[in-house]
Amino acid sequence: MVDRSGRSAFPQLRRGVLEYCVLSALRDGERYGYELVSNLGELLSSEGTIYPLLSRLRKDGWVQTNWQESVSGPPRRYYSLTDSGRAALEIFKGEWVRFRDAVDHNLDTREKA
Amino acid sequence: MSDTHENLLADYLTRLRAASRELPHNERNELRSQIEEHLRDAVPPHATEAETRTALDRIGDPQALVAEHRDRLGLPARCAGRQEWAVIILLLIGGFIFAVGWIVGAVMLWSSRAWTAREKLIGTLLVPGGLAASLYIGLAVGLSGGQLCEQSGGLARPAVTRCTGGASTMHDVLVGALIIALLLVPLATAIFLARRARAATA
Repeated sequence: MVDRSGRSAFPQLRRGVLEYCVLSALRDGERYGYELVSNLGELLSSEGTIYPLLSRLRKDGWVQTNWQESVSGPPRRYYSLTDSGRAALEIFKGEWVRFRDAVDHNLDTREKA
Repeated sequence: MSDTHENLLADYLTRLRAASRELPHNERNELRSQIEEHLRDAVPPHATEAETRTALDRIGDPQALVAEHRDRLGLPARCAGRQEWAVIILLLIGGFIFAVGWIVGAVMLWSSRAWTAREKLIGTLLVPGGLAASLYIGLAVGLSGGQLCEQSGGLARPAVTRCTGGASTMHDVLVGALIIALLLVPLATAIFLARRARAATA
């Protein structure tokens, strides 16, 4: 997936959509940091990079946090979607389909030409 | 739980603490507590050295995390705003305005979020009054001719004043060096503060 110049589109693509993937990972309910990391897999360049993103989403009001007691050790910070976060995710879903179709269409026509 | 395992974790957190010092207070605390929480989940209490190293590699380098945090939250990297430049200039030459300028600079320094407490302490103590104080001390020492005078005697005997030093070349050299050092210290402090200043945005 790396061209001859050592450049790959993957990191850039990932960077653009990661925040919406985080929102999507929260759509069925609250999760704590490490759970989210396990859900996102290859979409994270390194596991720690999710935390600055979660802070950003919280600042934007798309995600909220609350502390809960944990069976093992100190309380955990749980992240959940706010209404505006859910709305942002829905808008992105529509945009993603448009984007994906446009790119697919473009790649297909190039291959046939 | 082995010592190595504990040391690896402690070492990582130390590096994170050092790297995150440049973030504003709240951001710093949030990032640190998120990572500490992650490590409690990612590294089980009886993890082997290999498991611990793997978990730390996967979480990413502290410097990179801090850079990512700044990037995601739109915090510019180590750049001072207008207030920070005013602080640096006032501390340096504000003393010439009846010393008031320096005091204003010091108050602004301590109310700024661009520096840590240690950096503020250095900014205040090296040198109180800035260049004006250095110049004043330098001139005072220079004009006294570098003489160290000692008065002896009392009621019984006539007072005798003995002076040492004075015209000695050695002494002139020392006084010169002292004046140069006194002028360089506030300049060095100003450069230090300018380099350590980071975005004051919360």
